[in-house]
Amino acid sequence: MQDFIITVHQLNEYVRSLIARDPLLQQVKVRGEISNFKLHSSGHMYFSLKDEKARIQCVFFRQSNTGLKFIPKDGMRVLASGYVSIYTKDGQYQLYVNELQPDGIGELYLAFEALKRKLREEGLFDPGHKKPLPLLPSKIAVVTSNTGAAIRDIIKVARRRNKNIDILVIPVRVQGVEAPDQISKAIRYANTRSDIDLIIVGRGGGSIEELWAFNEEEVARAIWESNIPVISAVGHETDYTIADFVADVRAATPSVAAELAVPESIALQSQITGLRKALLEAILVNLNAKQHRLDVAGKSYIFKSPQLLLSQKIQLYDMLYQRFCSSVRSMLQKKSDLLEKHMTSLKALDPLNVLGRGFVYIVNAETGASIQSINSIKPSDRIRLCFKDGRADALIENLEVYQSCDNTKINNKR
Amino acid sequence: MKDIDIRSEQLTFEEAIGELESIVAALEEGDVPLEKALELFKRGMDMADLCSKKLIEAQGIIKQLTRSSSGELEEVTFDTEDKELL
Repeated sequence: MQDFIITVHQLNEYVRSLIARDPLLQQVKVRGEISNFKLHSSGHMYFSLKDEKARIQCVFFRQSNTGLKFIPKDGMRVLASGYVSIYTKDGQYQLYVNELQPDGIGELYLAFEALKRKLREEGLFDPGHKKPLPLLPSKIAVVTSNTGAAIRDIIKVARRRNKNIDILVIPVRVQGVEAPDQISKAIRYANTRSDIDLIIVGRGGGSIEELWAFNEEEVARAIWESNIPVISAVGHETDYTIADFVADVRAATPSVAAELAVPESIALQSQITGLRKALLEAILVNLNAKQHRLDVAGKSYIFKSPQLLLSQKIQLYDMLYQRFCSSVRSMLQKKSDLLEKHMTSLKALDPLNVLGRGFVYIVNAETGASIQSINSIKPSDRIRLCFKDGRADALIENLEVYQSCDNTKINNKR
Repeated sequence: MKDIDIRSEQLTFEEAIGELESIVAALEEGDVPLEKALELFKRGMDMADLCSKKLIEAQGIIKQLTRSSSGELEEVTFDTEDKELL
């Protein structure tokens, strides 16, 4: 027996078969805390379970963990059910988990509260950061499972309210370990597109474990970083998740999310119609006010009866014409008076009038030239005496010339 | 529907309806010069037309994002099992 030599592989296989024969080790339930949790790209999970005194390596294969309702994390206390076996390649004995559950709801609750406190302090729930929803979204991205009740509810309600709404479903797992990553990626993807102006992220009702993805920090940050407004719609009315606190608007259920997202086209149509009516009324009131002002101005007597304006002009013309005529008349009168006066003066100067008073005037009988000086005549000149009522010729006999020619002297001498 | 200039086309629904509301308010305020009032009225009608147009712009298309066999993202018609929706 001592000389019986076996290979390493045979040894490991032997131990493995021994363990496999133990009924207790084929179905154990172990309480412990998760550490070194790793999710492999294959979907398998690797972690250790530990307590104060010991640790054991655990494997949770993808085919077993797909139904997992929460996301395992380092430090989380869990109950792991499975069987013990040896990985014969390296002799590592480990627990092959086929069911994992949180060790009491208290664990999840504590994690939830801790994350909530942390994100609140960081300002991720800040109301000032929340974006308003578009009044009429052109296209809504719905991040949820494409097989759940949630998407059906959302589409049904959205189309009932507005059959013209465009929706892009971005299918994601909403529970299980891959859910947080897929949900976050979907939100970020929507933000890379220019045609989406609203995101609904959520799922239908379920247990706290099933809703857990929406309590993940990764999802919270993706929502917070979204430039497109996000409506969260997780579970039922009483369910509150971290996603709800970070989202721009929290909808109690997916149906409510659709109601919040999609305006009733009838309501918008009637709002537009109302505004059209108000616009028409406003312009009419405006035009009527102007018409009224025009009317008031038009009522002034000038505009009302323009012939008045004309008759006024005629009157003015008549008046001016009369004034013109009378002033011409008075001017003519003045001229004629002046003329008469001058005529009278002239009359006074008429030599014939003088002749009437005993004077005669003398002309040369031959030439008819007026004789005004003694020097113009000599003796034996023939002169003619002109009377008022006749004439007589005379012959000059004597001449006496005065020394002075002063008329006044002559008059005085006379 | 009337032609609306390109600049207006780029307005969102709420921008258009917001402008319409403020035009109505300005006209209701009264005392707008005639030329300006008519200009506002025309703009308001354009905005109302634009809103009505935007309301029926989307066609009610429901698509689902999938990854094709070559790994490209593509949009396919979303098949709601609920036949009454279609």
